[in-house]
Amino acid sequence: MRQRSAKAGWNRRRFLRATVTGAAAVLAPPWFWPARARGANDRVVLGAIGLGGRGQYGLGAFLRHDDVQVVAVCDPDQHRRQAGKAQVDRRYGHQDCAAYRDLRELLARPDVDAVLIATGDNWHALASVWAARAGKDIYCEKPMSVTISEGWAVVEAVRRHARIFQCGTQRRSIGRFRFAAELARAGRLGRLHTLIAEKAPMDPEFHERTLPAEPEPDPSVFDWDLWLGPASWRPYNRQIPTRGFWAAHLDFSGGALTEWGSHTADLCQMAHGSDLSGPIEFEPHDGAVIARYADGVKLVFARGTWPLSVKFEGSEGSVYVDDDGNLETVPASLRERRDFGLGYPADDHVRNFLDGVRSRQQPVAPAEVAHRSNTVCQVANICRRLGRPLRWDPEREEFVGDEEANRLRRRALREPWVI
Amino acid sequence: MESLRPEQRPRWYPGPCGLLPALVVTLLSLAVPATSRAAAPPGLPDALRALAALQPGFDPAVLTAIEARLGEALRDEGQRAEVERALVELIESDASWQAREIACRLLKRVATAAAVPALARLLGDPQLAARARDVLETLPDPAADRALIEALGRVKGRARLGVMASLGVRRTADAVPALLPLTRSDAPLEAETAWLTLGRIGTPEAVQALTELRAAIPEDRRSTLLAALFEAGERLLEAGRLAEARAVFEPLYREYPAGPVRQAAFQGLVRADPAEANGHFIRALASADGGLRDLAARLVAELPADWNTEPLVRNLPHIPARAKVRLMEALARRRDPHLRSVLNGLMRSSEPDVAVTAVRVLGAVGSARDVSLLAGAAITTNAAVQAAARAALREVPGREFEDRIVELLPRAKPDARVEMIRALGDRGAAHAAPALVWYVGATNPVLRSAALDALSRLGGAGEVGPLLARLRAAPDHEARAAIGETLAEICGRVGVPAGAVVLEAFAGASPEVRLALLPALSRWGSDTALAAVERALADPDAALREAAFRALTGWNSLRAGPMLARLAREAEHPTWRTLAFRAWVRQLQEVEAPAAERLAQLREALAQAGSVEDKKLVLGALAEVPTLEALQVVAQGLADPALADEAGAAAVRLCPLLPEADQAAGRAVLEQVLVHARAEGVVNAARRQLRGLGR
Repeated sequence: MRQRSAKAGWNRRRFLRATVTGAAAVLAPPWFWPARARGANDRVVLGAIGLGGRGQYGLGAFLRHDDVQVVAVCDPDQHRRQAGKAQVDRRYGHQDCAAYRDLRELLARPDVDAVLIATGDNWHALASVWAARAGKDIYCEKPMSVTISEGWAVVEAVRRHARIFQCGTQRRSIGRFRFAAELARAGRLGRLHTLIAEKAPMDPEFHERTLPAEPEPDPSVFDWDLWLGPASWRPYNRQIPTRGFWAAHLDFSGGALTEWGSHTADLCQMAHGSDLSGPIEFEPHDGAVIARYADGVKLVFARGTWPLSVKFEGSEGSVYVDDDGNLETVPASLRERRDFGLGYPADDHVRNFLDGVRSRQQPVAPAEVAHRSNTVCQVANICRRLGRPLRWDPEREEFVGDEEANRLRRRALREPWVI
Repeated sequence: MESLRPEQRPRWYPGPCGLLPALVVTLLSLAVPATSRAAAPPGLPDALRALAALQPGFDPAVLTAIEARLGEALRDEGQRAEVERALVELIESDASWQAREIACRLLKRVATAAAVPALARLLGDPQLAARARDVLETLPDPAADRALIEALGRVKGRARLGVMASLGVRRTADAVPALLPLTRSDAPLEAETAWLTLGRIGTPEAVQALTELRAAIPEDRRSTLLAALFEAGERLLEAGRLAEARAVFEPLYREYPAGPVRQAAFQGLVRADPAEANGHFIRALASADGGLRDLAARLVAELPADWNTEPLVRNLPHIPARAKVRLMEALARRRDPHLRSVLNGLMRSSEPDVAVTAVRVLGAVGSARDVSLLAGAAITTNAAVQAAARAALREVPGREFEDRIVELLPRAKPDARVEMIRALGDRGAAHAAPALVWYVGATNPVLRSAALDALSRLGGAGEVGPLLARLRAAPDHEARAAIGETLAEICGRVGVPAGAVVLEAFAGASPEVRLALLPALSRWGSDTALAAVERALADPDAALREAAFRALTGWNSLRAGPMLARLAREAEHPTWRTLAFRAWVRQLQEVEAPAAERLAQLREALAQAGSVEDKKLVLGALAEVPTLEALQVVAQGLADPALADEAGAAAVRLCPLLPEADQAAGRAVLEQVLVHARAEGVVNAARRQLRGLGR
């Protein structure tokens, strides 16, 4: 019997690669019916971590499924955790939902099968790694991490503990976006040459502001230290925990590029068939970034306007698709179906995750796929910050011959946090 | 942190009054793209002074300007050392924490060993320690390791936890001796961080320490130690130290009967022990642990392409049903060459899921040898197996598979023959069409029907002659009509080569045969076919005239339009007049043709329409012609109260389809819709569009 040594060929990344290749072949005909690991009547017991606007939306999406039982919520903000508990108790007509300030308490509950992580971006990776170690399946909102290295840590933890992971890039579960990507992948646009991913219309697109200190609230009301989590220390200011501040601050997020890029670049990756890879060159261009894949296809980060959209262009045609339900093709005949819905609900994506929890098959946005898409945005951000062209090696996940850029792939977590 | 004495302060130090206001203007003026300036002044001292002067709540534009200037300096190799020196001085100054944290952030890009002492002094600073570690973690010089090890004995509390974390990130092997005492610290968080750090470092010494700790740690604290052990195992695997890695994973695998720890240990074990991996897989697949079985099957699917899977396949029949299913699926994903050898037996399994899966995966790994097997499965009474077999008959790739079906057809059981013919149709196996014509004459109606259905999809001009012969020999009207429909499908797909043969046959055919051939002429839709149908409309045989009229109403091009228009005006029977008009308009709506041609005939139809209902019909069809001219015709209908709503609805559908240049005209028509239409939906839609056009 001829076997390879672990070092020779069966290395960790190769091993991981195969996993995701199978799981993420979302456009391939599903000729396997998922088998159920759990009994058909077993409920997935869920805990919800992070209960801001997106967290409440995600929690609502889970509560709509009868095969889910939400038993606990968690947020460092008392007002939010009480609102989350009320949302759950209303749904079930009781007062049983537990409310935690510290996610570690929720993760320590052995009865919880899965968690919804909808914290600020700063916490996504650490919470996901802890959840995986605790044996929980994970639905984590996008972007998956604020640095490239933390994203990879999530991929490894999910893999190591054989967890099901779904990133909240729900457009992967929405028909018109999948259809558009399929047109590109199936060659129906001819030779693909340009993919246009919109950045979020944020002003500024990212910042690193500091704000004057204000008295810290009582931790039982708002636990500032927990909210900050692994981000660098700064004095409390009530504006900081608002989305308007942190979503563009590079200590807490990736700004406009990750805010929308984790959707739009993700769809471009899907259209290009690069779910497990990415572009190799990045160049700042007129306030945006243009990236190139090894086959010459351009990925353009364009200034965004509502509604969020992507466009894929090829030698024989193009397709534009957006959140308002518009799907426009050139030629028009490419658009075969007319029954695409409106908006960008997460319901099907949540269902896809729950099915994965039952069947133990990874859903449509598994960890490495989400990590790769997020990495494209992170690399673009680094390119903008350095203000010069960069070469990226997607296989090794490092900048080619660029020590300065490579240092920006990670951040030190504030003590005492360790990933 | 002490303030700098005046003689220590660098030349850019702002002094007690600060220079920020004045510098803002300077810096903002510098913060324009370098390409737009000629011979830009260095500006670095200004930027550094502004940075040192930052206070809480500063204007972010100032920081942007500072960073732009420093960024430029960092792109100049000659200035990097100067920038580093200045930033180091700043982090050691008594500037605000904002200024110093930003200095750390910038230092991350440029720091060398020269920055290490200053950064090391920040490691005990509760506000800036993480920023300092952020620089040290990515600094490639071993001086960073030495500084962190030194700090381990110097700083306390949270700061020490951070230092340990950074040593773990850097995998500083030299730190192991200093970490060992901390692994047994009375402070739980400190001990656990030390474990994780040792795990990250992952040297044999670190692993030994963690292994020894395992027995001493109570269960409620063991999860962190396990995480550390898994990290350490990973490092050993990366280093190719397989035996040592196995010594980490195997005890955990044996100790934990189920759950994520066992699963993580299993993954490590099979990687650490590749020679025994198949054995591990087989035992896991046969175990009572469902999660482990699922994991093992998934890992099998991920094995390298040249992995010897024969032992796994050999054991497939002997593992639990669910594991069988998972392993079959995993092997099928790999297109495993050994799998086929056991599928025949598994297809006959009394466990329903196993049987169905075996049939399904045969669709993935099967070949021409499996036609009989799958055809047999397709006629079983088990509906799930039957459905899987039909799918597999469609999916097994290759022309050889289709050739084998054709070869076996004469010998197959009647039911199986039907399934095989359907499969050929579903697969689009046009080369098999000649072999199917014979079955058109079969006495078994199901078989006959399957052959005709398949020929409808596969048949070409070559099949028309033999099918005509079958048609002439057909025993009754029903049989002739069925063959006629198949010929119609072929003519619709193939066009002239098939249609010409049918037309020639039509000319000299008996009335019964001509009746059956009219649909084929209709689907072909050529001028010569139309002439033949026109003659048939005047035939003394009433049944033939009726059939010719039906053929005309279903014509596959706009060529029949003038004839239908004439019949709509002049036909003897009122029913024919009505039907002809509707067919004409429907064809104008549905048949692919240039917009100008459709519009011209629709104008005629509107002029000829005798009733309000007919006019509404035409207005609906006009909505499918996306031109300004069509909109203008529609707009004329708005003035007629009986047609206003239909005209409005057509206008609302047309306007968004018009090119940009015609938007103004469209807007004018929409304004008229608001005036004349009464239907709420139409009015609201017009309003929405006008809002979108910036009314």
